[in-house]
Amino acid sequence: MRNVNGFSRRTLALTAGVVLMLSAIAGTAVAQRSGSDWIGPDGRENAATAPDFLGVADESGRPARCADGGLVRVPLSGIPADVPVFDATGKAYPSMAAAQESTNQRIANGDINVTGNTNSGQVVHLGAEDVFRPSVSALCERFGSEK
Amino acid sequence: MRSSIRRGTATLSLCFVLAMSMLAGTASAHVVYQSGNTGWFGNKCVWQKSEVSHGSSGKGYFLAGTHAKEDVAGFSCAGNSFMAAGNIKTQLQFYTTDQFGGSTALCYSSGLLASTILSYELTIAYDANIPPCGSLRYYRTRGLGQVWSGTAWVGSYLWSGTPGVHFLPA
Repeated sequence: MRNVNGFSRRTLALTAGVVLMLSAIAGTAVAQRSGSDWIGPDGRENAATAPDFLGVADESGRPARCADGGLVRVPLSGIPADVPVFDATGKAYPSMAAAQESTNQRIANGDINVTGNTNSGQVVHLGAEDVFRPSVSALCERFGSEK
Repeated sequence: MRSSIRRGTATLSLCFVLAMSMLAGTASAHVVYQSGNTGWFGNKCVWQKSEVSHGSSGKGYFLAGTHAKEDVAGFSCAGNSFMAAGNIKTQLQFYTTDQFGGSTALCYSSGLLASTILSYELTIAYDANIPPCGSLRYYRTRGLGQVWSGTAWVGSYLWSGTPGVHFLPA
């Protein structure tokens, strides 16, 4: 009887472990599909099903939230030109347009590694000063949050 | 009874190993990208590439490229098409989701940059020193590519794919 119970407990524990693990994997697949059904396997967007807004990640990668607890929203077209931003070093810029101009100046000054000459391809190797995240509070104020 | 338990345990262990292999297969891809023509005008076309990979430090490499191409000897989009400075634009955006999926959230974006020389290509790349939006996450790239046709900007957004996701750090 102890053997039978032992077998049952062991089997139950192992089965539960496998079921939990498979659920996690299935959850991954479902979430990725449901979150990306407007992005085709070829990387193209389906304008008919694309959302108007996407979420924003905080510095640790978690979905950023507005003060009301709702998710921050950024337009599908990207960070608006007049929204304040921060680069990956933490430096603040008054707007995405100003940040973009900073990168252009860095290219012009030779501060960014740009490979390629006239009559060839041009490749720009950005630094942490050239990639930007939007101000969460500015987006919340402009677009509200997603509950 | 014991052999029955052993058989059961062995079967469950096999399931576990198979499941972990599936998960590891997803996580260990080295370079994930999509590429192809995304716009056409006259005898020219816009070709784009969006990529996410490990990079030099294993912390993430994000790339968006835009090429101007043209028909050659009857072959569509077969050759490079040189465009004046300023006539090719590219923007690099990268996004993240958590380890078990979830919504796609913007991590960082470059500005929309323009070519500064006579060229057929403007590619923007960012080789990260740390996973830019945290570790143990999936990342994907979205590139905006545009070429000036003389009357309008032609091009589109292109993602590194679905399931074009890459796990970082490597």
